[in-house]
Amino acid sequence: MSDKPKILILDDEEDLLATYKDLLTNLPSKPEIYTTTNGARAVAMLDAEQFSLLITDLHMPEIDGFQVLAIVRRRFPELKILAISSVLEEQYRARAYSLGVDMCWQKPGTENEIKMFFDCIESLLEERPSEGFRGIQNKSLVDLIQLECICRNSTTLKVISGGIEGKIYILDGEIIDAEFGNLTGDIAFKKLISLKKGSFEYLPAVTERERKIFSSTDGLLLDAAQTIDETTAEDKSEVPDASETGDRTALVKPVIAMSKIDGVDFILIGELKSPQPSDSWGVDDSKNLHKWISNTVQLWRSFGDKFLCGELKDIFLYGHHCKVVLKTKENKLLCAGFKATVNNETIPNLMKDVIALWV
Amino acid sequence: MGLTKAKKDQSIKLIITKPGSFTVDANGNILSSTLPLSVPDKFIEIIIHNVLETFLTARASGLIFEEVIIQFIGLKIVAREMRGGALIHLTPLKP
Repeated sequence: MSDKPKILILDDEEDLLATYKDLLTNLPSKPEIYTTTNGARAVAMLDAEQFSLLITDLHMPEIDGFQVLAIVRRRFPELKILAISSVLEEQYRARAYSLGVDMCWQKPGTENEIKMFFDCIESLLEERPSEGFRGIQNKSLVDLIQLECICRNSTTLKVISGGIEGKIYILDGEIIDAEFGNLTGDIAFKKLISLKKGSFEYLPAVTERERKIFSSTDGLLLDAAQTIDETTAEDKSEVPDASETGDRTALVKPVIAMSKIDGVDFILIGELKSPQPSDSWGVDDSKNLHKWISNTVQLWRSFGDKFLCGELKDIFLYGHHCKVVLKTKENKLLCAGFKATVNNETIPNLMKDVIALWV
Repeated sequence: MGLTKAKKDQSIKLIITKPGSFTVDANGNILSSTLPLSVPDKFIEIIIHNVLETFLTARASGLIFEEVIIQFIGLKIVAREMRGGALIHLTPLKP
């Protein structure tokens, strides 16, 4: 994987996207720039790949920037977000900050504003990704709990990380219960404590909560420290260091590797008769697309079988706005979407590169 | 693996021996054709149904295509969308 920071820009004005792309590419950190005009697509791209920064317009048709912010901040708590708008009234600015953006800018107009805007982006990119919880950076969840317990506070600590929510119930400085998904008690507490990043908020104490944790706070935190150590050790053993193995591609998911091929707009891989795709990149509604691919392939396969036309090799579909190739291998499906600007004649060659990464 | 493939290829039957085209309207009625009469009706009927179905279902999924190329080992079908109907070209391929 490249060490360059990745920026995703979401704006409904295509001309502006092209301008941003040109200018941002020249930043000192030489970031990789990805653009999209569609909010749902932006979320899909963030799902598929890790980005350093999202720059989003706040006012867009269909799905507005605030909706995107609400989804993105919940699902990607560690992502840096810069919100921009052509008209930035105080109420919008306040709402954007309340949704957790790192910075809010009016779209720059003058040369000086543009320079400041890019300086600001560069400084956001230079900020080291910090572990800890948004709001109190560089403090771990253990630190926060310790603080509450030492002060003998009563509160409920709500923790959100990667779209999962949990709560730690503290009464008079004692941890009485925790919940994380369907889990409660000690197990939930251990799961919560092993989270590395996320956001939190303090909720009022719940006095009538049934006590399920009876260990002392010190004992719990000692156990927690051990859990964290074990999790860190597991992380290190599970994720091989590319520099050690010398095989960088082994760390990249096939859909991500395929997305790097020039002209590729989206990728979906899956299996016939499966209700869900196995993986996708850049697809808004992957389940629906997978269903259509699966049905289309089965329709033509059944024709081929009936009239002995031989194996179905490929289906090429060309339109003014999108170009798609469907490829099957036994029960496996591959769908590659190419940008409208790509020539039909070059698609079979590009497809060979895509298939090489698939097989 | 190689043997299995060879066996599979031998099972290919060339229903058409020369390239040919035909046009259909949105209801699947043939408007003109250069295909020989020996080509079975059922073969044409299913191609028409599948081509129109492919364009229609793609559109329903938000994908609008003007051309579709279906490649089998023994047959290539090229269909161009024409106001809900299609111009369909068939080419036999020698495996």
